[in-house]
Amino acid sequence: MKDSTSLAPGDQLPGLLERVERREKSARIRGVLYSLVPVALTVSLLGYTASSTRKAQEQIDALKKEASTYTTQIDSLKKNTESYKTQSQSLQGDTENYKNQVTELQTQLAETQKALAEAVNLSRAVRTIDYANAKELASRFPGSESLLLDLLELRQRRIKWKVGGQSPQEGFDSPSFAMYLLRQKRVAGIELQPGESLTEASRSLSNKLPTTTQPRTGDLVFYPSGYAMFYFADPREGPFVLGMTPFGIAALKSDFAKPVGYRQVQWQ
Amino acid sequence: MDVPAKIEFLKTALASQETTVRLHTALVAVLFVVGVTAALLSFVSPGLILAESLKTGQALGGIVIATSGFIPIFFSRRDRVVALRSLLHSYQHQQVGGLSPDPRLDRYFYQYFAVVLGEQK
Repeated sequence: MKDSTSLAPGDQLPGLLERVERREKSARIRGVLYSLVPVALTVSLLGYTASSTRKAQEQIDALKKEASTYTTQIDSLKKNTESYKTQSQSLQGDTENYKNQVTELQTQLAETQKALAEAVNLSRAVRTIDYANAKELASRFPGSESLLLDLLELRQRRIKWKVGGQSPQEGFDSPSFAMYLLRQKRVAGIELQPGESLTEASRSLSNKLPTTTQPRTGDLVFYPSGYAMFYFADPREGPFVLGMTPFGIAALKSDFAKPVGYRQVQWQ
Repeated sequence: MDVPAKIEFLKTALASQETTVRLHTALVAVLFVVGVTAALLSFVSPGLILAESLKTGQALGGIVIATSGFIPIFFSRRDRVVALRSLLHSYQHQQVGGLSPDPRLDRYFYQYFAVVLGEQK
């Protein structure tokens, strides 16, 4: 049998041509393959890289979206925190207000209790004056009948107690009532400074009048709780004071409290 | 075996070899153009073919494709085409010149194909 590689001069040309053609065909295929294998590898690698990159990009996008969600949540939580802080501050402010109100109410309650205690004390010291016998009573105080009658007349008008009040319609507290009456009677030394109110002037009433240790009818008696009352020396039933009290114009026993001092009034 | 038959045979074999060489050359041209275009586009207009993030990969891939076409050329042995053409010309010269057949030419003829076809194994 003849070897395919051996070639003798007697070989027929068609057979040789066929072998040459076969070799060339093989060379063409091999050339194309040699060229296309790196191309195919490159394309495959690039495709794989592109696919991986796309997956990575998708993961990055998903993570970005997740991060965005978390950022939104964080922003929302921050806003909530700010809101809660504001509410907390507001509540703290309210609490402070309520504390102040409670303190104020406690103070008012204490003042009311004190006023009530004073009123109870005062009510025990009230001396009843019969208006029908006012003239008979006035006759006991020669020279001060007018003062007593005026006081009783104002009492009949039921002038109210009002701290800082400045007129009969508004009401008075004890010193401002005394100041009002002294001004009505045009007592010397009782003038208002320009721009000074009746209430302000009444707070320094004790400084406007001369001091005395032996009070006479018509003089002013000052008490620790701020009362300023007119003194009446009743020879029959004992001395009493008359002036504005929390339950209106009333007559009280002069010793309902220990007087702070007496002031002499020069009635005209 | 007469000279005209050999000349025809050599012409056919040469044509076949030239076809192979042309195919390889065309392959080189196509792959070179495609590869260089891909590589250049990765710099000039990134993102046109592949994503912008794969710019470097596209450039490297383009260079690989451009050079891969040259691989078959290294194996094509154009010297054999030249040798075959010389053999053909020698026979044609002998025929045209009315020279007596040269036994050395026939020896070269068979030696050539023995070498060429022997490598096919």
